Amino acid sequence: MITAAAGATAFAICAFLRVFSDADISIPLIFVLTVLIVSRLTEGYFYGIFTSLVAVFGVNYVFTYPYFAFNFTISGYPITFLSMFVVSVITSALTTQVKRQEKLRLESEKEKLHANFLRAISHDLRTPLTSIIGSASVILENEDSFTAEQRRMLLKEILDEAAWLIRMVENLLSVTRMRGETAINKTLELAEELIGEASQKFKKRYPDIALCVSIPDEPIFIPMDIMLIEQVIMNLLENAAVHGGKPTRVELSLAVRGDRALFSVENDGDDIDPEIMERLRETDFFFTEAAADGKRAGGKRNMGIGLSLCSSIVRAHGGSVSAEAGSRGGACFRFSLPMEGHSSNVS
Amino acid sequence: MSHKDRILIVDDENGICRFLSTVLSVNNYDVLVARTGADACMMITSSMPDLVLLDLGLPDMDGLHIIRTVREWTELPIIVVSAQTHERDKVAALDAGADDYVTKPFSSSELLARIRVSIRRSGTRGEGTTAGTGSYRIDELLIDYDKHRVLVAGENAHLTRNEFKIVALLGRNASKVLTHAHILKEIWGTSFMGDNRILRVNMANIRRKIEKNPTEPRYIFTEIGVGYWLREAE
Repeated sequence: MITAAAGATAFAICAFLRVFSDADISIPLIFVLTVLIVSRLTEGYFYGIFTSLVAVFGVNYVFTYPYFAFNFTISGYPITFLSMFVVSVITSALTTQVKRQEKLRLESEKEKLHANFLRAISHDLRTPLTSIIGSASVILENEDSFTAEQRRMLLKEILDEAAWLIRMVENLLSVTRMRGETAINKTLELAEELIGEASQKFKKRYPDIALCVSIPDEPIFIPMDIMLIEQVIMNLLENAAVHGGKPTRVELSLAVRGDRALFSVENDGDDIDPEIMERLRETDFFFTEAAADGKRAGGKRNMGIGLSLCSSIVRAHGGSVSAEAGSRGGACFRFSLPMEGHSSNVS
Repeated sequence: MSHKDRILIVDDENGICRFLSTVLSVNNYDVLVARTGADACMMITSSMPDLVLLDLGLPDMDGLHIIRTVREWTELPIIVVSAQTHERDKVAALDAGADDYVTKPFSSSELLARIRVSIRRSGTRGEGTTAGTGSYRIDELLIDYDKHRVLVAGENAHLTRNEFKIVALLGRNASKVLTHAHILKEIWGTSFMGDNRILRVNMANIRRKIEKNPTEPRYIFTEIGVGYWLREAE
């Protein structure tokens, strides 16, 4: 397609030049340029070389004396056409090679990103596992020397870390689900059910933090994969509860703005580091290195993966994410979902 | 009570089996373990357990197949143990006839509560509440089956016909999760199968009539992606 179009254009330009001037010299150059463009736009070596051949014969046939007949034997012609052919082929080969290298570079970059991601995850998994193994073995080895209270604390530690691990694994599973590029299965869901369930889970997990829910009175229907969106809300709520010093209050609210449903999660803890906020905005919440370097980001374990998952899920729904400083200190994370445009065959 | 309830654990993972056996025997249940679907089917027939704890991911047989086979001849309560990410399996299991499900990871207290409810329900099956007569009370909510109305704190909640039918259905199956598909079929018949919206609209209305705060329900609870259940009277 591209080859044919480019070739036709080149012929047209040359014919045009031929009619209005005697600029014979520019004709081979135009064809070499065409070959370059074709190789750039097509895959592999074939089209470039094919175009070179067609160009050489075409130029000989149409634009050089004798017009509209093949003749490579006139003195000077063999060298002219041979060099035109060689230049074309080399151009096309070089272009293709450059393209291949570009592709390889992109692939290796992707692999590096992958490796970074895996490193971040391994780090995140190792920390709680170390604590679990440590606590469990210490209990086994010193069965009698602990007070009941000490043992209870160690067991509680094991439980908390294991609970954290399982949430991490759920997030990872969803990440692979999102990367699988399978279209998400949206159904029309009632926002109050989503928010009700998320807030109940949160209250069970963090009984000490006041959760304040505000949602419009009328029923609001939003097309979504409710399990995934619940995970987004849980991740944001959890971040709000765990990060930013010791927040005492978390707000979860839903509002309708035009044809979008706007969710926001805000806490009242310490101010969020502007540098982290800036990074979040720049990377659209994708910063896995923060997970690997948990200490520097203020001990925000799982925040990297949790947030980048949120971002992928929301964007797969055609929505967007944003973050800003909270109105009473702390941070405010928002995401919006389109309320229209779902398929009508809800299951 | 000298009689111990007997529970059959069907799971192929050693760790889970060991954990479940320990928890259940400590809590005074008689425990049997089956590692494969074939063993499970055999043991259900031969040892007549009072309840089955079934993991859906068995090596030799689809868990759903076991549920359907068992349901052909007995109402023996089945609780499905499933992983969180397989909400579709949960729905399929409930629709195939499972009584309840617990999601991994679950706490032992949660599991024991579910087991107690399921065993008790199987004991009272066919009595009073299932006949759809009389009334059912939870706190301030009263479902009056005879007069087809629901009262909240003595006040008529003015439910429409279909809204009442939904509440009545949930009331007859109190504490059991009914799937969206199940409720749709019971109330609207097969013609509305696959139309979730009509059920959601009715639920939204019911909630506004009987709950003080729709996001903090006291009576009707939502299992996201699965269905609804009504709390049991204490």
